Amino acid sequence: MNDNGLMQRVQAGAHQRFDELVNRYRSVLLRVAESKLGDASRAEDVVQETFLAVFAARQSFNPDMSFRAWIWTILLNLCRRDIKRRAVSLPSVTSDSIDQTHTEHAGFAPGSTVLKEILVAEQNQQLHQWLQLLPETQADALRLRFFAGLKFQEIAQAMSCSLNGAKMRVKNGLVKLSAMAQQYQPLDSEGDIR
Amino acid sequence: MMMNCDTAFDHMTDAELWDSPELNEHLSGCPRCRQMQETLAPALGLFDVPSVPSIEDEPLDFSANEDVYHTDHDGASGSRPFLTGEAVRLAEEVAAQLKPQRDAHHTPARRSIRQAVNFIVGGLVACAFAFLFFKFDQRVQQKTTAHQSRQSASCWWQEPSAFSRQQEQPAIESMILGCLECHNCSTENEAASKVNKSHSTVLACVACHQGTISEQFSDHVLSDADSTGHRNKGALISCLWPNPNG
Repeated sequence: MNDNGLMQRVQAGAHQRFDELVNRYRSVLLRVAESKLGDASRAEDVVQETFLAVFAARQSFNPDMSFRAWIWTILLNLCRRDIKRRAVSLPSVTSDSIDQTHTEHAGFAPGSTVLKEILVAEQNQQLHQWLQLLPETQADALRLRFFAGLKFQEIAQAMSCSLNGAKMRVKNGLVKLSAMAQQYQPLDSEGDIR
Repeated sequence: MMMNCDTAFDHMTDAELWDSPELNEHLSGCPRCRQMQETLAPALGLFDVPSVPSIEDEPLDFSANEDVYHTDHDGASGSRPFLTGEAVRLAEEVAAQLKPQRDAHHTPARRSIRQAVNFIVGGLVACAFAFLFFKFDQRVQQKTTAHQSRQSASCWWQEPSAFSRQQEQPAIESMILGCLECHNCSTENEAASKVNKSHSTVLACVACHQGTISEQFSDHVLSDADSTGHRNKGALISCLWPNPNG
């Protein structure tokens, strides 16, 4: 059953079907939230609140609209709200906190060398830091495209922009990221500059 | 059919389609997209790395009822799932704002532009109609005025003694209106069918009496001739004043 069908069942009272939606979206929502907030625990809180808000507002869901666009729009807005609150109450996110976050959760896959995994973790961390440097709209568009796997039309809906606008945000973001990546020369497994 | 550049970009940035045969075929024949792919390659490679594993938490239980969450208006994070009223309002607002999928390409900004364009076009059309109506009304009024004037005019042809060269403007205008009574270009005038070859007589009158008749009256007569196309038909005939029968 597709997302909208499940949501209609939830609206009709089959609340346990909401678990299926949670299972479908939890990991991708977390990934985007972590990338945007730079903090795993905060990302977890925001994702939980997103699901709860969707559930609480389930009767306002219109089956003609895209569930994906709905939930992603809510997540992005809650992330922005969280960033604003943190900016007021706490010092800004430092690269150290990002380091800690991604080192903690970048578990090593079986069969791979530790050094290789460290390099992957480093690359992940670098990507998230570069995304923080991009304009927010471009970074969000990239997250939705590559972390969440949204189609451009869905990105446009989630970000309240045109289809062409969504494509331009992704394209411009990629161009800037490419420039950053070309200037960056990480160490390889031998300890030399790649 | 070969894909276009727009679709090629979609494929390039799609985790499943980035290496599709269709994309490769397009790239082989499109240097612009090939250049684009080369430019974006460093960034696309960054997204190709394994994702950070997500944290497996206790699944939320939504099966009971809405009371599974508690509302925390301070937004403080606790051990239990929390939900702020603000988040619920946000979800409801987003649901209200999101258009149905079939209208997805109409973003709020685009809708505003469309509404503005509709308003401007509507205004222009209304102005055009108002202008045309005004012109039409003016024309009807002119014709009505002329018709009323002609009905009261004397005929110089039938009563030449009633006029003289030294007559003042009102009398001259009356005389010309008398001419128009028969030489009118309007097809609704029965007399016109008999004498319409002599319509330029009226223009000849106006030509001589240009200085003695009012400009408004002159314009009226000339525009009447213009509207029926008679003014451009040949030269004015000679003035009949000295000898009406000639």
